[in-house]
Amino acid sequence: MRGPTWGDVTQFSESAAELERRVERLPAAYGFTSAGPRPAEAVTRALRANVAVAREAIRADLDPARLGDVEFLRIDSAAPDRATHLADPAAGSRLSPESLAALRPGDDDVAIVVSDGLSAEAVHHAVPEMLPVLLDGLAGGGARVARPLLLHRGRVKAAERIADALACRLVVLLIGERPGGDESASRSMSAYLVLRLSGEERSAAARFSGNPDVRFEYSVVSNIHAGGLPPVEAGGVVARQALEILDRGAAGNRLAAQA
Amino acid sequence: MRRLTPPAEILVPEPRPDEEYRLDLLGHETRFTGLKELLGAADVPKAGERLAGLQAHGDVEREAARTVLSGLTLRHIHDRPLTDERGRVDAVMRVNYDIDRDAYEELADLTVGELKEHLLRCSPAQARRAGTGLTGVMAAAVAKVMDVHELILVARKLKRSTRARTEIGRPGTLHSRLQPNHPTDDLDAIGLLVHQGLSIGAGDCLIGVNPAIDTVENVTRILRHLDRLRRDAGAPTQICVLAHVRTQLACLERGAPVEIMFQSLAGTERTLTEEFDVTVGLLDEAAQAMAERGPLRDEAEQVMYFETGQGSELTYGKHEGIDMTTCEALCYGLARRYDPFMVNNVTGFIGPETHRDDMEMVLSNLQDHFMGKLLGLPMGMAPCYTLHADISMEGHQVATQLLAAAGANYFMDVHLTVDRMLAYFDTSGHDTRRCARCTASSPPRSTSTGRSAAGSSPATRRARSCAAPRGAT
Repeated sequence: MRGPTWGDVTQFSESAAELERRVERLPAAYGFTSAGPRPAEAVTRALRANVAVAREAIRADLDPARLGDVEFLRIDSAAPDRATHLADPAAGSRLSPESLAALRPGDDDVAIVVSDGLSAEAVHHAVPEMLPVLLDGLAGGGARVARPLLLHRGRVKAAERIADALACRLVVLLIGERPGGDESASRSMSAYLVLRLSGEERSAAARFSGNPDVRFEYSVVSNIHAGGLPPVEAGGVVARQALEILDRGAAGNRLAAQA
Repeated sequence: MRRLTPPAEILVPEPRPDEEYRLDLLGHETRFTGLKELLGAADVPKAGERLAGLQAHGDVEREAARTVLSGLTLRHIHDRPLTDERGRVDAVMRVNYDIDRDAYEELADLTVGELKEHLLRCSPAQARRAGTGLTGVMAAAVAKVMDVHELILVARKLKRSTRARTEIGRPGTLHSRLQPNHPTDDLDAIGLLVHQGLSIGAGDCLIGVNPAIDTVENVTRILRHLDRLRRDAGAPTQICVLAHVRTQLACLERGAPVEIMFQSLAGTERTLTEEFDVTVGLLDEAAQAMAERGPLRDEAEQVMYFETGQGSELTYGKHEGIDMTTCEALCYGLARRYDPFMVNNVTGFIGPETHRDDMEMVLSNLQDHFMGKLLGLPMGMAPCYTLHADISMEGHQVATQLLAAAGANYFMDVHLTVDRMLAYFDTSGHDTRRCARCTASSPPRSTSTGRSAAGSSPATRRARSCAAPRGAT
């Protein structure tokens, strides 16, 4: 039974200004009015429009021209097409034989990898502003950085293959996350900081995790987009975190436990 | 609290080598090696089974597998526990054998097909008793020989109510769990979503936040906020923050209002332990702590809450060759041990690698609901999708309607179906209210307690707006 206050969220707010303040903090808020037991038409149309934009982010192709001025070496995952990439996460976690062969062990500390993941739109929107800040931050901290890689149809685990192939200590993977429900959340990128463990670092990580076979530790900075952690700011945050991981030889929960 | 059978006391038969099942189906020779292969081939087509190599090669092979499975006795399945990759009965499988031995013996010589017919014909009380004698694998086997009509009809008989601060799941009711998630756990925004939900009568089985940050401090902060919101609104419901069980235990020890204890479950021990960082022993400990020290210990009959969902074992590559439906049923066999207040799946949450399109998601959800109810659980449902699957809002709405018809205890209330933290789509409070209004079995209006929120004090009005929504109101 819907009485006269049904669906009226203002009954819980002291003032219109207070309600307005709370609404500003809520993503995907398209209004609270109803038509019978369903949302009002204007609410539904706004919802569906945002979902449509988010859905298209999945279908967008990675376009190097939209990533700024940094020069990348392009590599491919083992997923030959989008259908395979979506249906089989393991394929996106491996590199194509040609791409694997193109990577040689070097003496760099850090490799930066940009990948579409599940939203090319996310990297199109964040990488041009974020990457220069990240590169400056790493160089300023004295880290040796390999030529940035652009990985098509990648998944997070591909960072491990790349770290092994380049024999670098740390991979910073900037990757599009699976689109959420609105225009802004469909452009959400994450930075995975993947530490390749060796020697004493690896023994310490094995003791900490209880997993004797541990080879990598992960830290993650998520929610990088204009409505979350802005890309320019994210560049600084990720650079500082990368330098700290290199300095302490630990990432993830083990790094947090040292803090 | 019910006594938890020590795992070592649970009677589990010795594993046996795989057998060959052969059938000439209308002139087509088919052959299946072992129960895992047979169960996989007998299921409806799904992306996860294709990825795992467990799917039938075509309709004839699928029907052959179903025919073979339908002819196996429950004793045959009972006597061949599925094992992990090392040939071992794992902890989840062991707990699944914690069954009512008398109920099992009454049914043991029925075939899977005969069990289905029994469930279609029998009374609700008989169906409930049958479930107490079944393992998860048996529940999955019978689900695979049932169609949409049958999954709905039998599940509807098995509706099960539970009680914490309030009672949920009585016949003719459809409740909702408010899920006011926020990407940074902003308390103002969470509060707004709670108030929006309460204003449309949502949240009457639970107000539960999935935290973005799983620390004792943050989870305690959200719990206290939810507790305040609930008290201020006078809402007859319960609260929960769906953090890891260890975090919630620590919160409980610090005196936070952990009214309902939550944990996600998996159907194989390797997934449960290595990926979810949970053991049967830890779950036992959590249930014990809640019975002794939980804030609702004196009034609640049940205080545990579990989430499951097809495909998590597969995604982590730790499914042990067991198909997604059967793994899901094994989760229910584990959940049953703790006599939970509420259980829901989130099948469709993972993405196209487990459920590619509308039909795969719809059918899987009907299977989940049926299997959970058969094993005695107070199943709510959370049909889900992500934007990278070929699942549409319309397909999701069809699933929701079918599950309402099947008697789901509750749906999620994710405002406008968009989860703002977890990047997926779920049911909304609007969906629940629309379903409650159109559920065919609801009592006629003249006999229901038609009450209006109008004309009472604001506090009562708020409380009532959140009372158990009945089908006819």
